[in-house]
Amino acid sequence: MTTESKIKNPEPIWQCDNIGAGFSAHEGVIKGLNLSVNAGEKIALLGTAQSGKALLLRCLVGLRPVREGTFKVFGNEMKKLDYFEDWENIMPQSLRRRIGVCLEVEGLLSNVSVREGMELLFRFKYGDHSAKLREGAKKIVDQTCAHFGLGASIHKRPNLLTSAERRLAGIARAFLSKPHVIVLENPSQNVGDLHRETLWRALDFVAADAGRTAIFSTEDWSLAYRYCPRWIVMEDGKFVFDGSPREFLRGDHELVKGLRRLREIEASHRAAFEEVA
Amino acid sequence: MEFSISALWAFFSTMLSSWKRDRPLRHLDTRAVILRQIFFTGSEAFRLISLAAIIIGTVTVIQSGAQLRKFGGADALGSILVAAFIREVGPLVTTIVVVARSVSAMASELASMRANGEIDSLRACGVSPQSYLVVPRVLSGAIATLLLAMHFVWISFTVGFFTSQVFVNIPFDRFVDNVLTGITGMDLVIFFVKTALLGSVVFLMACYCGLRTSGASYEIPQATTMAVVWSFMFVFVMQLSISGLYYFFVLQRSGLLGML
Repeated sequence: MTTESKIKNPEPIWQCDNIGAGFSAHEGVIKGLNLSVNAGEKIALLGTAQSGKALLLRCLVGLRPVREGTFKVFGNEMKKLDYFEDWENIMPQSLRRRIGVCLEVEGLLSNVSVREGMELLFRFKYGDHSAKLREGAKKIVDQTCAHFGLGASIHKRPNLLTSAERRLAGIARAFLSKPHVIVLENPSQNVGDLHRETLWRALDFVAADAGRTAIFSTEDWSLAYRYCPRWIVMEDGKFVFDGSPREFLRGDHELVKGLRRLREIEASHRAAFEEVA
Repeated sequence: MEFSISALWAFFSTMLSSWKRDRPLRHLDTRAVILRQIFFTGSEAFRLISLAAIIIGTVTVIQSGAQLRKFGGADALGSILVAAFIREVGPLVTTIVVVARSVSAMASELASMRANGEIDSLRACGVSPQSYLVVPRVLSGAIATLLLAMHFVWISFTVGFFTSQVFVNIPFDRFVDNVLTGITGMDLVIFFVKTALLGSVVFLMACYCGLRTSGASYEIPQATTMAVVWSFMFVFVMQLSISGLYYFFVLQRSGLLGML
């Protein structure tokens, strides 16, 4: 059994050999996946809807148990579980805290303001028994939120925020403790042009840090191309491609064909817009 | 969504291991959650408990007083009130009110948090939902139920005294003397143990049912119903078991068990 005390020095970050998992006990959505992620890699997880991206991400961050194969995080083998009640023990707390996560549904605490929710998580992780620690938590939350351009909206409850603000607040929370590893599910989802610059700036910071590992599950091709030198494409719970974006875009995968069609439509729209303008 | 004793046991074990690992009571935030829960559970049920104590106290004294007066045993009224309210009715009625008011609310709150992705996000951020949500709720539930049960007993005895003045006509000093001689140390132990146990079990049930949902919003009312129904089941079974054990040992000690 993996325990907090047995955590070894991590290398690689994730090592999956022939893993299988599902959203329920009897359903297998992903099967026979092999994946190795080294420190500093920036990976885009792409694929069609229902291809297994969301489940794989949840397995990687310890929110879903792996039922088959060998799954190691920071060099520590994780338990294979079936029962909900044990899910808390899928991954030790100390490993979870090294990974910053923002899933598709941000899950901001709804009964407190965004700022209070972030401070609370920070204090729970690092302790709140001294005034210095509590002040430190406030300062870090303020700095991180300012970096994401959240401004006065952090004093509001999540239900009063726009979807873009909620998204940025969720991503800001993932960055709060400056984790070694960032996992973001659809980071640009709901982020319109107004907030896109802020998001780019935050992700530039991740891209510039050679030691920081990142996995973005996304349907935003431009984001994937800009930040991720390694693309993994999933289909029906399996990897159909693992390599560089150039290599993938030169191929004739259905996704690439769809992307080309999309680019043609966008180009015609742009031409029409320029004509009017 | 189905209920399973083995899953509940696993949930309880996980709560204990999380408590041991994280020591959540060291955190000011957890203590704040405990105080807030005690306040809400207590204040929500306060008036209802008072009303229940007034009605049950009055009816018990009228009914038992009338019967006792027929046989000239009005002096036993104090002992009957002790047995009824401290050992049995106090813990039971209080827990039933708490289940109806707070357990249902807590189960739906936790199920909504799960549906909103808050539980997953807490877990992903390295904060154990068991330590931050379950431990303080179970603890505060036990404390609040205990306080409410004490309030119930106090109100029912006061009402019992005034009612007995009208219907049985016992002087104040005799009534107090009867009650005080009727209370034994074992009665108080049973009262505290039973109430705290019932309180913690029903709030554990609320947390279990709320967090067991898969995250779909249609499961929120299902979780609430399941928490209330199974809480009642556990309350009745535990009430019967604890009282049964108590009377078994009392009868055995007094030698009456062999005569039966």
